[in-house]
Amino acid sequence: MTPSPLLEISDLTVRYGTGNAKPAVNKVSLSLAAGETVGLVGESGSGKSTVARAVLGLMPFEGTITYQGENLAEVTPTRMRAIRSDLQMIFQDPYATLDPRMTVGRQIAEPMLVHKIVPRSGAAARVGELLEQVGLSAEMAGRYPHEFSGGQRQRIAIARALGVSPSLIVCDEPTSALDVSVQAQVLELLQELQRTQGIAYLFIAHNLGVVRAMSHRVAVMYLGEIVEYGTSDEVFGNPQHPYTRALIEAVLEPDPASRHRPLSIDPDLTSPINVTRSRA
Amino acid sequence: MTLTEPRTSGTPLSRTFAAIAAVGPARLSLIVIGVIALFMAVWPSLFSPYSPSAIDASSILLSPSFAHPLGTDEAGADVWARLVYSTQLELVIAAGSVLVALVIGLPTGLIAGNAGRFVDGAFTSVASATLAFPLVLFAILMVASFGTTSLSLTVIIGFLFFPRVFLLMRAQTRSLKEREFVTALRVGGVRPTQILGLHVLPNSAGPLLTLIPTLMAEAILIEAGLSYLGLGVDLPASTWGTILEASKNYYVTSPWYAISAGLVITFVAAVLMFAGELIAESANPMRRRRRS
Repeated sequence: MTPSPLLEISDLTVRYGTGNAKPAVNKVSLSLAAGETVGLVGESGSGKSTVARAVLGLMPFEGTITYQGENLAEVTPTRMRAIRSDLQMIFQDPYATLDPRMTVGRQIAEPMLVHKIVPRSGAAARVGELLEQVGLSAEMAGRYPHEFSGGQRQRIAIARALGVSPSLIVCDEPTSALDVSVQAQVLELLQELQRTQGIAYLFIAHNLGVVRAMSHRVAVMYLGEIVEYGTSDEVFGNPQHPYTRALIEAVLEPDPASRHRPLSIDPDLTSPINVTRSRA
Repeated sequence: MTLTEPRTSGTPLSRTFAAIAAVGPARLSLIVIGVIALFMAVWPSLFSPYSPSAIDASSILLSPSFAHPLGTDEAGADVWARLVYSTQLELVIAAGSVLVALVIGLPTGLIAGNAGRFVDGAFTSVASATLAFPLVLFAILMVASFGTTSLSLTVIIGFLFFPRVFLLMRAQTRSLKEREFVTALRVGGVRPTQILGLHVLPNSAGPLLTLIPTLMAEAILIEAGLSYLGLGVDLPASTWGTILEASKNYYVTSPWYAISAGLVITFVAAVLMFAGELIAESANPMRRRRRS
């Protein structure tokens, strides 16, 4: 199922600040095929979002990120802008992701106009189509973000990302700020778009249930490193790394009878190597 | 919600009244004062039958009367007429200096807020140095070099104000730059100039609109202060500041002269400050909700 990968990350290292600070992301390697979803799980601060930001060219990195055969570290800014029409992002906070002073129609149209995907005259019609595609109605284009709920705003953000017909959308915790029922709707929408348009997702979340439902393959991140990487069934069905097991066991079972005590992990660990030692 | 109901029912006239009532007394009085001030600036003859430059030896320093409600000055001209006829130049200097401050401060603030440490540091140092320089000393230096014309006063006051606009725009740009929707735009491939013009600037409009009337009020006060030191515009041009300056020799014998000029300056500055407050209030959705 993986002919040539759409996105290939190898030995990605990202450091915040200067000097010898421990890298936020340390030698991470991942690959993503067209139309595939790779889930990236891990606790807060494990480096998930940093990987996403590096992929989108929002921060300097070491290592190589190859998108459709092009090394993102070496492309010119002009080329990077062109690549960005193929590579979109959906953010965690639906309240912060839209400009409060601009109508949602104009915001959806903006990336399409920047990349000259539609002529200015055809933008309004395309915006209407996109709004309907994400389950909203075309006449909502003239409204401002504050007139929408969180779930609706996330749909608008998805419509904005879809406008440029991307091959890959990086979803940085797209549903963690939403109500559970709205979460399911947004996730279904993302899955439907993948079926109909073959979009690949780099899906970042800390909710294991969501990641399992969405992803073909899963990478578990811990302290800036990938500690386990495999198909969704492998990782969740037969976790190898103690941290993965701890993560899975920490999920509360709906039935109290089938709950067992979570594996204790010292949250102050500085290196993944020490995980096993602390279990004693 | 009650605010929107009247618009959907009633005759056109009652709807007009309802719309006016919805504006609220504070806004309404500001609008009325603003319109009167504009008329005074453009057609001063509507407000006074006298010429502000009339010299009449028979009516020097008269007390207020029906013919001269604010009395007359040392040359026999009507004080009310002089104040009315000075409105235009006063407002031009106030608005002009704010315009100068905006022209310098807006683009530099946007650039500094968006630039790296070096450019930002250079711009910010210039702004801080300007803020730190003593106002009166600077004004005396400038007036000595460029003369006491209304244009030089406008430019001098405008330059003194530019750091205020600069620092506001710089702070706005820096905080908006970190907002997620700007990151989304960068990811979308939108050029930095377009992000600044279409997103950062409109999102900074509220604080800027609040600053403008406040700066105009300060410009009027600074102009009055400089005029009092003899750095105001030269005759025959006159401003409220130069009228106040001329009145200073007659405090004891003709107090109404100085009081009239002082009250006009105080009133207009207060109204402008109040306008700034109101704009700040309506620009802040949290405060707006609490009011209604």
